[in-house]
Amino acid sequence: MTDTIFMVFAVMSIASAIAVVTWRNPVHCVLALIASFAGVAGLFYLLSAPFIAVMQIIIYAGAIIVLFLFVIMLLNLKKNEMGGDAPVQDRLFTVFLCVITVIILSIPVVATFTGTFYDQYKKTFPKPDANLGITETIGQEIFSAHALAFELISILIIAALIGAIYLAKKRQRG
Amino acid sequence: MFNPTNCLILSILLFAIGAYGVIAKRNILIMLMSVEIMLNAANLAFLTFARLYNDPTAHVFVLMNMAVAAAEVAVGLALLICVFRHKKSVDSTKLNLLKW
Amino acid sequence: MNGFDFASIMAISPEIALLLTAIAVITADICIGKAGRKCCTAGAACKPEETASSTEISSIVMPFICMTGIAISWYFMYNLWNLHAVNGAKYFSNAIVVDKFGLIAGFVVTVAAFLTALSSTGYAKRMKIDFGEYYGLIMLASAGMMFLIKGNNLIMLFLGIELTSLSVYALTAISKHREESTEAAMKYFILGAFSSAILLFGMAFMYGATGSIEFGQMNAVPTNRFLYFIGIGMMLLGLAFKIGAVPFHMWAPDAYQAAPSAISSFMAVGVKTASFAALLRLLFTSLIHTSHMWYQVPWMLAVLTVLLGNLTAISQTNIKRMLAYSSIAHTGYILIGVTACMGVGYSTGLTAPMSSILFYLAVYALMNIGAFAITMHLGREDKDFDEISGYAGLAHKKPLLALAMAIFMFSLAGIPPMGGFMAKFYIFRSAIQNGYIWLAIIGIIGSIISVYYYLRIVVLMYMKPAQTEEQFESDQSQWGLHFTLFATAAGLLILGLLPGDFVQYAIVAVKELL
Repeated sequence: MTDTIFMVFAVMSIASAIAVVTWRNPVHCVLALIASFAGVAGLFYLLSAPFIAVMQIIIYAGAIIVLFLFVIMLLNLKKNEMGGDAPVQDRLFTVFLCVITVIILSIPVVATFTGTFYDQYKKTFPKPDANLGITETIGQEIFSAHALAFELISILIIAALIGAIYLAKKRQRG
Repeated sequence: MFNPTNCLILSILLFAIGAYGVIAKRNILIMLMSVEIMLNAANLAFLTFARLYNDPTAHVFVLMNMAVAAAEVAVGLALLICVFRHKKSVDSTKLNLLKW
Repeated sequence: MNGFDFASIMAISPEIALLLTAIAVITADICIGKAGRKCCTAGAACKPEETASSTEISSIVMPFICMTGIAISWYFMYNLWNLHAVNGAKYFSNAIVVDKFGLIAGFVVTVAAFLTALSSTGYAKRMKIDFGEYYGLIMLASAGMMFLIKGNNLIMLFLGIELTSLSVYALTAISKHREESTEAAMKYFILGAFSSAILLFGMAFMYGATGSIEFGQMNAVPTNRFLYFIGIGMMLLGLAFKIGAVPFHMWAPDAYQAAPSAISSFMAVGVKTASFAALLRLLFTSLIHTSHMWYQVPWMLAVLTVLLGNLTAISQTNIKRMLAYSSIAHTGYILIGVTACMGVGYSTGLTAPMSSILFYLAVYALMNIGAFAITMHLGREDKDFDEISGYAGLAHKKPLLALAMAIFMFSLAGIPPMGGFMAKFYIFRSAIQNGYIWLAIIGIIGSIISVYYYLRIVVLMYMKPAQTEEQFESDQSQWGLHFTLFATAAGLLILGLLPGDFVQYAIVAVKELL
C-alpha cells in the first residue's frame, strides 16, 4: 500500500517537475509547479513529517505560487517577451550533464544502502518514532535548540522585505 | 519500493531536473521556479535522513529552508520586475549589457 | 548554555548592536522623510529647498547612525575579546561559538562596513541612492556576515549566507534606475540562488552521512564515506561560488562593475571575509580529518583561480572590472593558504597558514576599499570614475590622490613595503613550509603577472599627460572619502612595515580554533 502511494507521489512530482522545465508558458509552468510541490508534500507525509507536509502546501502552494502568479499577471508577458529555451544542441548537452550528475550521485547512494556501509535493517526505513514529525516535537526543537536560528529567520525576512519593496516600488525621490 | 535508496534517488532526480531548468531555460521566471524545485529536492533528502535517524533536527532545518525559499523568491521576483522595467522582457539572453 | 540568559545575549551583543542600528536607520529615514513631506503638504506648493535640506540632513545623519552602531559593536567585541571565560564557548545550544578567530574576522567585516558608511556620506547623495534602504541593508548584511562567522552548525551557516546574500543582491541593484545595475543584480541573484541550492543539497548529504548538523559533531569518521563525499563536494561547490573561485566566478566581474563602488568594495571585502571565515571554521572543526583524501580539490581551485583571475585582468579597460578579476586572483592566493593547511599532520603545521589567511584578509580589505574609494572620489553625477584610460595624468592634477592610488596598486601587486607584500609573503612561506612548493611557485607567477596591470595604472597616472583640463574636478563633499583614503593607505603602510602585532593577534586567535 505504502509502495503504491509512494509510486504515485514520486511519478507525480517528477513528471510535473519535468513539465515545469519543458513547457514554455509561465502560467502552465506554475500550475505544474503546484502539482510537483503537492507530490513532494505527499512524500513528506509518507516520511512521517505531517507538519512539514502541511507547511509545504501552505508556504509553497499558498505563498510562493501566489507570488509567482501575481508577478506573471503584473508583467502581462507577450510571446516575444518570454524567452524560450536554449538552442537544441545546448539543451541536449545540458541533459547529458544532468544525466551524468544523476549517475554520479546515485551510484554512491545505491552503494551505501545496499553495500556493507549500512547495517542490514537500514535498507528499509526503521520503525518511526511515535513523536517524530508531530507539531509538538518540532515546536520544542525550534524553541529550545534552534531558538537563535528562529530569530535569525525573522531578521532574514526583514532584509528580504526591505530589499523586495525597495526594488519593486516605482522611484519616488529624484 | 518505499525505502531510503529510492527516496534519495528521487531527490537527486528532482535536483537534476531543477538544475537543467536553471541552465537550459531562457525565461527568468522559469529559472526561478527551477531553483525552487532544487530547494525542494534538498528538503526531500533532509527528511529522508531524518526518517532514517528518527531525528527532529532536520525537520527544523526544512522549516527554515521554506522560509528562506519564500524570502529568496520575493527578492528574486522584485529584481525581475526591476529588470523588466528596463528591458521589457524576461529573456535571460537580453541581459547582455555587461559581457558575461 | 541554552536559553536567552545574560551570557548568551552578551555573546551576540555585537550582532544585536548592528541589527538595532539597521532598525534605527530605517526608522530615521521614515521620520526625516515624513518631516520633508509635511513641509510639502502643509504649504500650498512644495518648496524644493526644504526637501533638499531634508535630503542634506539625512545624507549626514544616516552614516553617523551607522558608524555609531558599528563603534558600539566594536566595544562589545572588545569586551568579548577580554572576557577569557567565553573564548571558544558555545551558546544557544551550540548554535554559535565565540572565539578570537571569529572576533578578528568580525572586526575586519565591521571595519569594511564602517569605511563603506564613512565614504558614502557625500557619495550616496550624488548617486541618488535612497539612504534608508542603503544603510539599513548594509547593516543587515554585516549582521548576517557576523552570524556566518560565528555560526557553529549548518543551519546558522546557511541562514548567515542567505541573510548576507539577500541583502547584497538588493544592494547591487540599489541604483535601480541604471539598467546595468539591475542586470548585474539579476545575474548575481540567479547564480547565487543556484549555488545556495547546491550548498543546501550538500548539507543534506553531510547530515545524512554524519547524523548531525553541528560542526563539532560532524568530525566523527563517517560510517558511510560515499554520502560524506557527496556532501563535502557539493558544499565546497556552493561555498566556491560565494568566495568567487574560478570556475564559479562569473557573477563577480558583472556585479562589481555595475554596483556603486561603495557596494562593490563592501561586497568584495565583507562577503569574501565572512565566507572564508565560515569555510575555515567548517574545515577545521569538521572536515580536516579527511582532508588528505580531497585536498587536491582546493589545490586545483587555487591554481585555476590565481592564473585565470590574473590573466583575464590584463585585458580589462574598466578599472572596477579589473579590480573584480584581481579580487578573484586574491581569492586564489587565500585558497593557496587554505590548501597549505590541508593534507599535512594537522597539529603542527596549521598555525602559520591559518594566521597568514587572517592577515591576508585584513590587508585585502584595506587595499580593496581604498582602490574603490578612488573611483568614488573622482566620479561625477551618478557615475563612478571607472575608465582606466581616464587616469592618465592624475598625478599632475591631484598628486595626493595619485599617491594614495599608487599605494593601493603597489599593495595589490605585492610590492614592498606595503601590506600586500607581507600578506603574500606569509601565505607563500606557509605553503612552502607545508610542502606545497609548486603551489607557492604558481602563486608567485600569478603575482608577477599581476604587477603588469597594476603598474600600468601607476604609469598612466605619473607618466602620461591629462586628456582634458577639467576631468578630475569632482562635485561633492569629500571629507568622508578623504578620511577613508587616509585610513586605508596609512593602515596598509603600518601593516606592511610593522606586521608583527597583528600577526601575533592572528596567531593567538588561530591557536584557539585548533
